[in-house]
Amino acid sequence: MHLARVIGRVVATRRITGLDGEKLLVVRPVDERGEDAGATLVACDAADSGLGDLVHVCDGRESTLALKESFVPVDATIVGHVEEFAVDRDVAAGAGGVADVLPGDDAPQGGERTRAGTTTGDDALPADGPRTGRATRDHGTDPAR
Amino acid sequence: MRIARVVGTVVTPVQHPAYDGRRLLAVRPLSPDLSPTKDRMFTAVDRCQAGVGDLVLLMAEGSSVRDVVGDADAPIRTAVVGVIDEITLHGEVVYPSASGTPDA
Repeated sequence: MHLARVIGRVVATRRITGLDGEKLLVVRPVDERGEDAGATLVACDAADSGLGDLVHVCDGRESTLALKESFVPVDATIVGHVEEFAVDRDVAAGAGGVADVLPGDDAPQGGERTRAGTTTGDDALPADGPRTGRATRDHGTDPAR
Repeated sequence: MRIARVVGTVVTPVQHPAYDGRRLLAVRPLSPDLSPTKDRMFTAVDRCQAGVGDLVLLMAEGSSVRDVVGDADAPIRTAVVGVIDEITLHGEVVYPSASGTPDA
């Protein structure tokens, strides 16, 4: 599972049974700064995402479990819309993520936890503000949901 | 299972119902000697009250993870299943480091 930015959409009228009605979006994985990290991929959308959104993507076999049909040829599905993404810059740098490019001077002293991303980052991640709705999908009759 | 560092937290108010009530963490995998790897950051569901900066045990195998979260139909692939106290490699303790500072 990873975070990604929605950068486009795919329309495919003729598609395999089971993928009917699934929205296909082009997403690009992001790193700790919300910047591009890795190859773009096409993902189904289970969270009403739109262009430019920062989203949570589930990959692999589990990605189909978020769809109406769970035995379909899908290997990535958007399962959440990210409202806030907080990163500890020092920890991220120590883990080898973005050590050489993370700005360090403007961070609070004493290694305090700082936020990079949707809430306080300079290059704000999603620009459309928090959403209040919920994913409006039919996930069957499981009472636990 | 893999060793990873928790680098951040993720909040997704609009999400698949299987994620309701679960904490989402941003993690970056490390090699056993705690040196960085080429793997990019990804997300994991927290099952151990892990916090930012913690060294954790990461399970990244779908069906076991669905077992851990107690939902066989959850679209969840990665989970934090342990907070690491100590790592020994070839008889040498690599975590916590000898200086006593875990992040040194």
